Amino acid sequence: MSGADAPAAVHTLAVEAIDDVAAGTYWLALPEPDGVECDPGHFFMISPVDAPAAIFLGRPFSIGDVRQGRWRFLLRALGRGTAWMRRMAPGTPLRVVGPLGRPFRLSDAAVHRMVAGGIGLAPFFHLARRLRSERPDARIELLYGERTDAAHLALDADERGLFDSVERFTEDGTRGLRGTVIDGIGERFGDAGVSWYGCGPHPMLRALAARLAAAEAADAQFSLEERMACGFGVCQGCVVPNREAPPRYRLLCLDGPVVDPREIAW
Amino acid sequence: MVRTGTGRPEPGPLATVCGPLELANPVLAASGTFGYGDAFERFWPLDTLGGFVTKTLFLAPREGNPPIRIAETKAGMLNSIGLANVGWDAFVAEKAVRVNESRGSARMLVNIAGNAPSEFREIAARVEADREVVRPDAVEVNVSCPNVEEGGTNIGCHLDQFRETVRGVRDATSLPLFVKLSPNVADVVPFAACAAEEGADGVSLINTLYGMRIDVERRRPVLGTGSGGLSGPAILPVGIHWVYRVRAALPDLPILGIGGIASWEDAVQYLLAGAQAVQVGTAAFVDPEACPKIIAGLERYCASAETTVAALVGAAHRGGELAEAPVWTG
Repeated sequence: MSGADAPAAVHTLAVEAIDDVAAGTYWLALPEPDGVECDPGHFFMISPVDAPAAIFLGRPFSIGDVRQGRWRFLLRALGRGTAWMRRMAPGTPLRVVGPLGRPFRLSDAAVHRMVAGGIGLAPFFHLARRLRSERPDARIELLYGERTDAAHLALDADERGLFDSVERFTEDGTRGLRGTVIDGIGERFGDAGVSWYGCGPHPMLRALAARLAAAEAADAQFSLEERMACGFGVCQGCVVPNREAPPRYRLLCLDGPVVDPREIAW
Repeated sequence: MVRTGTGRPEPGPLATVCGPLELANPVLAASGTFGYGDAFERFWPLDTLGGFVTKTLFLAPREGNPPIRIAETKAGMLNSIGLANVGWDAFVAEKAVRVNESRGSARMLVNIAGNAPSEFREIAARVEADREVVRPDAVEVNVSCPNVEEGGTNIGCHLDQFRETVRGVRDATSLPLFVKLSPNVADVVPFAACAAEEGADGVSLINTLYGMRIDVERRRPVLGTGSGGLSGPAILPVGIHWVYRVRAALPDLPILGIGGIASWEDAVQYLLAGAQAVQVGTAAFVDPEACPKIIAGLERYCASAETTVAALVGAAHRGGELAEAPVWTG
């Protein structure tokens, strides 16, 4: 499904819960509207209906998980918007526009390897849950890096069960293996029959793209992040440079957020 | 009365006439915030609107500025999109015919620009040549463009280049003509007067204000181009000020009011200041249903106040004293 065809609508949803799961990091739970299907990798533009003056634009957030009748978004208080949202009381009305964008494609690979840096972990719960359901024989691996232990997400039993293996890394060595998640992949870049998924900060994805290209890995999908004002192709703010021009840029909201890393000028 | 649209507006309390434009309601979607008329159809039907203005079209396609292109501000945003557009030919071939099938009574204004006054004239001539295919109800000229023949000065900020540009477009097409005015000048009124002298049928005001945000951690401007255009509720009082001033100075010049409209009350302020209709832009990024909500709000207001849009236009000037008051100079 292309982004332009996604069945987007404007939903007004009241905050059901905000649950802290790591330093500055929280699950935002909203009631799942009836009859709205959202696929792993889809995103939503979320803004408070009664916004404070300091928050004007909506923010794009990938769907984190769909569970027990709730849309769950994994947010980290990195800017004034996400900091404000963390303090929202249950019942706070949010404007939720979506689902938007181009979601993950589900491949038939035997191994699905998700590589997450920091809050880039967000889209992989819904992706793993969908793969569990539609590719029950596939192996699902998560490699997840943070700068330090305090930032590492606590997974509950249900979330832990979505993955056949979870490897954790910290740059300062306070939890799991010391180093970046890229270091942690080690010799496994050349593994055959793997679908790769990446989400995280730009330097991490750039490095991951380079290593995957060197290993001639053909099946990789990255979920990227950009500043957006609208989320559906009008504001033209979310340009990402293409490796082969023309066109020089793509709009990440329509031709993303999930991209083939080989198509991007890193 | 020029009638080039595809349907006749239903008469009602929201109907309004802005010079040559008969509108079913006074809400238009503003240029640069509505694509080519096709962007919001997933949310609501196009004929909900009184009209819409296309993204600025050049003769040749443009890829636009390098990122970062947008930055949030308090009650607004900065943009530095760089007038990215598909170019006139692609608009005609891929957009115009399809939009005409769905727009009903919604008026379509094609917004045009060029890299120099001569290019404005060229694209206006193309609009004229293609008018039977495209069926625009009017042309809106975006003069807030750098003039490559004059070292990149902003055409909309220099009266001589502004006059040359409007004159060229007026010569090239007989379509109804609106000129979109920049607020980045000491006084907008002489530009409005100039547009009228050169045969424009009306003016659209205001365009975005120059602005900049600086990232205090990186110690450099947030936008890739440094500065950008400020839009959103932050600029509402600026737009109302200039609409009021232009109306007072040129009471017969039709006005499309623009700048920071996010609610029906904002739209009513523009009507009272003297605009016959308004354009809504940035607010629709945040709430894609902003335009239908504003129209619904105007319907409720007109019903409860037993008034019409036409009766509101310029009403803040009546009594004379306000219109005669000196301009505040700080």
